[in-house]
Amino acid sequence: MKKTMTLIAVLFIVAAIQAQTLQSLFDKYGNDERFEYVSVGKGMMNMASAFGGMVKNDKELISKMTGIKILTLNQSSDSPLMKSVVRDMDQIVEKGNFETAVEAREKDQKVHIYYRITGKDNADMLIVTKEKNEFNVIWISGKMSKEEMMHTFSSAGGMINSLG
Amino acid sequence: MEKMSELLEKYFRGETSLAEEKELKKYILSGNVEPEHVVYSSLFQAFDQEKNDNAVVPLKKIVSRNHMFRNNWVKIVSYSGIAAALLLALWIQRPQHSDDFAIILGNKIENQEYAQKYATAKLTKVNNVLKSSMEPLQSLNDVKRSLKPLRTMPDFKSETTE
Amino acid sequence: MDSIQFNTQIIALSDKLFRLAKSILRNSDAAQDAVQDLSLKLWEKRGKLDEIENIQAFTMRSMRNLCLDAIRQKHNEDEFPAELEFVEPNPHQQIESKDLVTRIREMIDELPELQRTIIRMRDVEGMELSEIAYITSLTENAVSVNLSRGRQKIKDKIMKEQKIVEETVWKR
Repeated sequence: MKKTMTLIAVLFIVAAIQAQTLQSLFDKYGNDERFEYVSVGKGMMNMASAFGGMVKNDKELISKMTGIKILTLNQSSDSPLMKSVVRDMDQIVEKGNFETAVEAREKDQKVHIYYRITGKDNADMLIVTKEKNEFNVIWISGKMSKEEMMHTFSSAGGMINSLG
Repeated sequence: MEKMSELLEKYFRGETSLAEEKELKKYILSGNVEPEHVVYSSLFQAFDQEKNDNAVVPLKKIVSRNHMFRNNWVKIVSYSGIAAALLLALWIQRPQHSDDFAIILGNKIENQEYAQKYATAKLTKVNNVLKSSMEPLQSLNDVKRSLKPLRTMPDFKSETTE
Repeated sequence: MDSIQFNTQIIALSDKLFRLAKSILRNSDAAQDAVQDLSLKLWEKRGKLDEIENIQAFTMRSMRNLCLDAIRQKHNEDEFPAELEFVEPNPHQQIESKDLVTRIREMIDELPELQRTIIRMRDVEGMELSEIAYITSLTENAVSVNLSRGRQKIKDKIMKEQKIVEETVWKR
């Protein structure tokens, strides 16, 4: 019993710390006026069309998403601030048990999509985009199982593979 | 279809309404057209392409810090073409939901519609990159190898949380 | 109008303004500069902007006028006006290297300023004739005529190039 309790406690702590790291990235930079920080919670359903290419036919899936947070920095990739936020982001991805779902490139733009499930159904999807003078982190959180999240990406993947 | 041929003639006479032009465009780009109309698909595709022509280089933006300025002095700040692509609600409304907001240049805008439109624009851009990318989907099972840091990372061992 | 309102409105329009400037000046860098110039000028007049009903139309019209002034000024400075400097390239060379969509965009650029501006405002931006008329300071009828002329010219050019393509294919 004691062992189980300790294990559960550890899991909670791990989850809490992981979530905290991502949120603390947003807290750290979001109020810095050199960044743009946008958050959408309840208004997700109105954005169904924006997910059009990425999450096919899945209003249900969208309803499982609980929020979107976006952090944007417009500076040259050499600037110290840019290097700092990119470094912080890389650490979060590495430490936070994220898996890579998609890597895409178009001219000077790179898009990486990472995901993870914590606990039973706490889903986090991270879309990180990099181009010459801009860096974006889009954090989509939701309540869904690993299968449901896989389905999200197979839609995106299927779309990529079926084009061209 | 004769109707479409007539509509096309009307179009080139400059007499079509916006609704008719929309109908014409839908027909021409549908892929199911009369052979003599195929040539016009490039025309409408050209218009679509032009629509996506956005300012790529950072556009300078006029701001005033804390709404104060001395003797018409204005501070010019660099701004991105992406932000410039947003459609915004014209007036700032009363705070609605606390989790729908935007913080731009240190100003908090508690406007749900604005926040949604901003997020929509960003996601649309990501969509566009994904659509035109030719990179195949990485194996979802391949975790460690597929994790590619965007920049060189400091060498550290992940701490165990206890 | 305070800075947030100004910025949100003008930034919302900046891509349309950029496309308009680019269409008139036929140069991306110059278009960027023009949009920034306009933003500055409008900022200085922001007190009066509240009185304007249709900000989009007003800003587009100001953009166009600013660009035309820039062209005229350059005309006065240069030996040859910018408009005339644009030489239509050899059609055979064009077709070989580019796809039709790219070519059509070039064809639009080859039209006189008024026609290409009107076509783009209508066919790219989807504006009503009344708005285009205000921006170009013309009557709706005149807009319609120029729209027709521009579209017809493009159509003729497309047909001409298609014919050349077919002839080339046959030769092979």
